[in-house]
Amino acid sequence: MSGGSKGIPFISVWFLACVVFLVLTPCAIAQNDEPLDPTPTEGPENSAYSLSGTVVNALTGGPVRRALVQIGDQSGGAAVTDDAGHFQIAGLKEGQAFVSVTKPGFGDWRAPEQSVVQVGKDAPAVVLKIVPAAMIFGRVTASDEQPLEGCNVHLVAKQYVDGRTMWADLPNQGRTNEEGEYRITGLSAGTYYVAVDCGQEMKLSQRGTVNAREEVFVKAFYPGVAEMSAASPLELSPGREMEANFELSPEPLYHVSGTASAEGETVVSMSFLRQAGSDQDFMQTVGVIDGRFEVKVPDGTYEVVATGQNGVQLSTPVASVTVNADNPDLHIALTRGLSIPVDILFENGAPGAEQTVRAQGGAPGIVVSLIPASSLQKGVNWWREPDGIQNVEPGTYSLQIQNMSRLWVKSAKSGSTDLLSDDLTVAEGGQAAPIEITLRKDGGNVNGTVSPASNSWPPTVLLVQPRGKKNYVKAVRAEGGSFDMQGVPPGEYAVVAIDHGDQLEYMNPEVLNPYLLDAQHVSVRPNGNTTVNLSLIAKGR
Amino acid sequence: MLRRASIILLVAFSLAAQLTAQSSRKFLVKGKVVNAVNGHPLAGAEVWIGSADDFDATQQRMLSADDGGFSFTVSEAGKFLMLGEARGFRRQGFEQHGMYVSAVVVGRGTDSENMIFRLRPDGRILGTIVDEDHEPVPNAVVYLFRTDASGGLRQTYLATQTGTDDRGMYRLAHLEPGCYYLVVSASPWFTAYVQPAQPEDATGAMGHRAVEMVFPTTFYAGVTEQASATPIALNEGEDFTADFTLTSEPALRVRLNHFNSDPEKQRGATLQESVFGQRINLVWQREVPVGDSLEIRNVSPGRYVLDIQSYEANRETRSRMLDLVADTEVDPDRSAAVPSIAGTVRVEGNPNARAQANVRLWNSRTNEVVESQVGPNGTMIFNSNWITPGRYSVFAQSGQYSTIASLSATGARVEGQTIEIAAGRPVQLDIVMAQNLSKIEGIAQKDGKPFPGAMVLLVPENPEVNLPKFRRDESDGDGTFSLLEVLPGRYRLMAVEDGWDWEWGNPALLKKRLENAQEIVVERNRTYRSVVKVE
Repeated sequence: MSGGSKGIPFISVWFLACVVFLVLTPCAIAQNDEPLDPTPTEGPENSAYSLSGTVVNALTGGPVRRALVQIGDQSGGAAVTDDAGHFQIAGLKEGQAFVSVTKPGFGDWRAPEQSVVQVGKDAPAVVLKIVPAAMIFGRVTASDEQPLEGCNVHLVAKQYVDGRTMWADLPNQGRTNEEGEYRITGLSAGTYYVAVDCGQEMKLSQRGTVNAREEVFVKAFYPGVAEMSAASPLELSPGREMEANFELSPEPLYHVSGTASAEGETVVSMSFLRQAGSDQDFMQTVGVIDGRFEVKVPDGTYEVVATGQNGVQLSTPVASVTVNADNPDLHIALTRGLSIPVDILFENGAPGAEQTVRAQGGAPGIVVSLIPASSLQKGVNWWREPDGIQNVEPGTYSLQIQNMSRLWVKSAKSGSTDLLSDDLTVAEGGQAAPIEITLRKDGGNVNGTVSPASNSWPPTVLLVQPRGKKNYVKAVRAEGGSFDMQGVPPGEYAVVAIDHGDQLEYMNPEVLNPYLLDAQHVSVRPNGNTTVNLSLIAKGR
Repeated sequence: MLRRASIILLVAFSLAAQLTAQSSRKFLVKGKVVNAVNGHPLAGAEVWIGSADDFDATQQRMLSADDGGFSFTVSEAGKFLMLGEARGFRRQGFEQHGMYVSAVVVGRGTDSENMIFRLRPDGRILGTIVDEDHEPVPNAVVYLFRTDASGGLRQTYLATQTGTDDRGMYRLAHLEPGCYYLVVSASPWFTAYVQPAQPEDATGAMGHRAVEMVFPTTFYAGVTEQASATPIALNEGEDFTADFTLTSEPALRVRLNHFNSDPEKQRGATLQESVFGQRINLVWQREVPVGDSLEIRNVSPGRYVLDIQSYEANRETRSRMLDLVADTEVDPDRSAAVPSIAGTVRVEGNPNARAQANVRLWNSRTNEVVESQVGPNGTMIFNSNWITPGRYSVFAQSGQYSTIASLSATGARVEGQTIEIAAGRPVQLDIVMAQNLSKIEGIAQKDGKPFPGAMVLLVPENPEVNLPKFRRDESDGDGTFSLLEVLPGRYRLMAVEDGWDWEWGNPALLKKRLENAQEIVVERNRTYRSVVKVE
């Protein structure tokens, strides 16, 4: 009997082309002076007003037909524009409202923007501008012009993570079809690097020869280089369609086998990572049985990372294993990487009468990690009990403490370095003093409201205290127009609510300072409760 | 030779007669890879060869030379499996038909040095989906159903699915030739982005209704009735274009009255459209609580199965079929409880131990297939909660055992290896898996000569109720075949030259051929040898 009927349908969720957004510049919304008759509606009596207007293409000024206009708060409301770009939404209450526009081929999936309009008796019609999205497309072929199917095409762009910017893979990826073609749509203007990864399928290199040497395509950045620092970025302006073709040359694979040893540890598996500048362009993972391994890799210098029994992480120095021919007798010596212990101390008592207790087994809701200071250096080292932060390579790191508890972080130190204000530098072959984090439970509580509120994209509330080179910033999203922050260190703070603040590099004081001009100031006492009502600030200062 | 369809590389499953190794002699397997449609040689095609007994350990591979030629040396006589693949030609076995291939025979007086490996080129179905304003429809789901008789009776099943891109374009590549149906499920793009109003008022007004639009599920060539769908006969290597223009219409709402009235009652609802007896998911259905009721929105007209699952200690699913043409209100408590099917699977010789197994029921009349994993407690939970009353063939797999020795049931009538399920009656199914089965080996001959590539068919008595007892194979290069795991009983054996598209499980079509078939009585744990004339 056929197996075909086993197929289970799944929902294809392909969001990328159609995303909510709106230009949020001072000129993006123009309310003209024509009064609008309130239109009677089918809604409740106090929902007697309409919002009408036009959606236009921000580049051409032409009307955009069949765009979706939505009211993001009150009790909703939505309409689709007609052929002239007009829309009207009835049944609205008087007051300020968020409005957003969506249309495939327009917009920015990363920052769906929204704007505030006035609804009421004399509210004028609005003009909403939307920006055409950009696109990257192309073809991936082998050097013999054969199309390569099933290759993943990644885009690397600057992204905002917890108030920092970093270069990272975007979730919208392409995959080449049987003609080698891909297209990635719905992109906002910006700088993009394109990388293609055709997997690890091993092909034969030569016709007419039985079991000829195998070859593989390694990861490449546009226009065909191994590392991002040598790649050509694509600068996309709104609506631009750029072509990025790849012609890849396969690399012959060498058969390498041998032994692995690791200071008394039993090695379970090993990954061979080929170094290409600060990137890795090839990885192969193999099992290790009785200390022996067998792997096929292209020539180059490798770092080998391994897992021992009980999950112990092991590695060789970067670029220490060289492969340039078949080798049946390679020995790989693995060592435990630098690991930095983390000690958590709970502190009680009033100033001058503090007592500390060393925590057994960490603190719930506290996540500690070291983030590389360079945005090009990838990989975050997470604290894992009981081993501390493992496999920390030489470099400069910023300590990040994500705090979902009611406790507050009084101090974080490594030796004499104050990690709340300074970075941690790990020297080549060096050691790092244990990280000691002191927590207290007498933090305050800051809560309040943000107006206007939005259901679709809640604003970000930032509680800020300058501390040397690094501000102390605590961020929450104001869902439904209200927020509540617990475990706030006692002290003086500036508080702001920023629309799309999650798309802001707020950990950088230079970026954040202009917003603080409109901040409210609060004083948080131990175990105290502070309420503050904020007005939303638009992003883009 | 039987091919395990799901693995990439073929592994010998059949234990054909072992051939004596002829010491120190080497044998050549040599030939050309050609395009099966035009006979042109294929350069750079990848060819694998390996022993039928241990393919993985013995495999060799090469790219065909510029003239399509390949040549392998093997050190033992025997049966070998051969695979090929090239750009535009999906990976396929030598003379593959469905899950069967013909093994290459080396050193048995057969010529293995002038092989012609005909690779069948892939077909494609591509197209563009637009709406009534000629704007592209992105994110549409395109379901490809295939109709064939590989299970003995003509059956339509979901072969694959894909989505449209921002241009409304889709492509289904690497398709085997055959008969297909295309089904498109889509919603106007904006339905995915409408935020539900908070809080929802009782009427669901507030302007949302204006943007609740759907495209009816649409069959090729642009019809909304399944019965009017046009099949696509896709030829080898053909590019078939199937464009669709979808017309939107107001969406329907299905309200489950007082669904959430009892906070103690934890339950969920799913509404799935039924197409060719299979359920497909809808693209942008949305569930909205309205008062103490639950409303399912963005529903297009069509035939649906509504499942209501209760998550209390006593888990239960109630289901009903809904033919939706307008907004509909449903009393969720009045849906029929699905016939519950419980049961045990045991293995012969070990009657007290319950075995874990996979059980599959197939209703060939309605095309419904339901499957269940049977855990150690013996409960069968079927993946489809709607089981239409009717007659189902029962297939089961438990570890190495895949043949049912005996089947008994309470609450359902058993005939051969089928059960008749009645509405609302709980069924207790007891399955005993057979071991110590028999084997029939033989040779297919035509005009007194071995005949490769024939379909060999073993037909049980009362074939209409014993579909799981049929056995098939493809004759190898020397005409030999093996039929495995044969239950004791009376059978008819036949070989058909061009039978791969034949509906061999259809009693009406079988009847004529059975008259000339040879009879064979099989006892337990025996090996039979037979010569079959190819019809």
